[in-house]
Amino acid sequence: MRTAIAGGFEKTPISPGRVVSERAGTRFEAQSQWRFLILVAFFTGGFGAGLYIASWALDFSPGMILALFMVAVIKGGAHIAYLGRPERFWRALKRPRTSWISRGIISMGVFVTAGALYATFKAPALGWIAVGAAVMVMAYTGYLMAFSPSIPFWNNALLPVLFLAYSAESGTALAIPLYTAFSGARVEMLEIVEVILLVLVTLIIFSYLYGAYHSSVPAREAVDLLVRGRLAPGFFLSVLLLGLLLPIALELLPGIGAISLNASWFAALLCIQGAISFRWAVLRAGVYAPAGY
Amino acid sequence: MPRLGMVIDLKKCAACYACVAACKTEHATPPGVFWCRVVKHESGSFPAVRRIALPLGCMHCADPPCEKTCPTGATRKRGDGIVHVNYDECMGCRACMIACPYEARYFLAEIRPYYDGQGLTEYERIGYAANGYVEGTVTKCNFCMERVDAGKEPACVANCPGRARYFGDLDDPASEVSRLIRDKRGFQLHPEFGTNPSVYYLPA
Repeated sequence: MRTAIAGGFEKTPISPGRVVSERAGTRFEAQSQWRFLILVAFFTGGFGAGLYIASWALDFSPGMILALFMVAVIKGGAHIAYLGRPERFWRALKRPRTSWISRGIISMGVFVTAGALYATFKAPALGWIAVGAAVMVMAYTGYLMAFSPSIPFWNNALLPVLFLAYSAESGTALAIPLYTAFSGARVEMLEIVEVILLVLVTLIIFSYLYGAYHSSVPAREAVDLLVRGRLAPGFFLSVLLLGLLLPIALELLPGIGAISLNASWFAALLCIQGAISFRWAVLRAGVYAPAGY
Repeated sequence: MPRLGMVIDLKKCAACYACVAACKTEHATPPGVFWCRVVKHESGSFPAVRRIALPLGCMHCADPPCEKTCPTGATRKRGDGIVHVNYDECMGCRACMIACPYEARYFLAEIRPYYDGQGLTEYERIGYAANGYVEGTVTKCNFCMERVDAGKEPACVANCPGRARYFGDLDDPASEVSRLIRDKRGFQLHPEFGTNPSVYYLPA
């Protein structure tokens, strides 16, 4: 029965997507709905929550306040600016039972509220609540994307884990020089954590791409776009080389605890651009399985 | 409660686009919005060449990912299986467009006139108002629920000159749609997505 429609169907101009590649008569289209503003929202949410947790571990208030600002203002602002009807944003709270957007928005609210109260009153329970909500903010975008059966490259159980690890890594990367610049003290333990997170993220990326490549035709097409197609230069240069391998080298070559403050700032910038580039690459490689393939 | 569904006989479909035109007429959808569309494909090489037309639209899935991912509850599934959007509740987050495996949804960034620079025609003005389109929201096929509620078939079914489309209760084993699916090996598009579409196709 499937052979009757195998081989792919020509998409008419009324198809909403944009053709990014063609293989064996099947035209693959990239999702075109989630682009710059969603990238900003997803990145600042994960990055801010990661920075909060690292700062909370150091009891470093400026880091926590910066993190809260990023999540509340930048992430929240980008989400609202993206909506077709921004005045209805409050309706996003209505369906936490099934919708990851609802769960994410509620987590954001809990995170910002508990984080702000903790910064004011320093009650340990509030700190733990904020940290729990921060973990949710770091991971929910991955669950949201992994929920999409239409985009097999995203429909992968490793994506939430990867987003969680990447958020923790990029947040920690910034917390290290920020804390040193404010207090003048070194945080060797956090530097060790950062190196472990960098290695972990590299391994998860490899596992994620490997699993996706061997899962379905559209997911393989997306991986091809990343490692061989037009996204490959950005992926290898920004994500892997500058965003992961160079920071690892910067942390390890002088020895843990011996990295200079300037090098630490540089490593943080590299990690942040790597985290942005990775999310951008994943959004751009979101290739649909065409309805008739 | 019935589970309404559709069967499309690919052998009978002549790719005449009557269903597309009927849908446009019934719902006065703005430019660029096609709740119903037909894609064509040529496969094979001479002399074994085939041309197949595939009418596409919302599959009104029994387990719709668009409904689950909608954070506002604007996308709803009725008791009879029709999945529809309430424009007054949609906030335009487009998560449903990402989740839909059948690319059946359209975002109404702006409701444009068909004739640039001339404003809305009387037909467009009345049609857009009657259908309640709201800029900044998402729209999709609703199986002509206003016609169904009035005891009629959807416009694409009623206007198909080749009688390639059938509409009825999938849960009733004696219905025509159930009989066709059973006797003529009806199949769903992409069953691997696990959404259990309510639109079935008969092989070409």
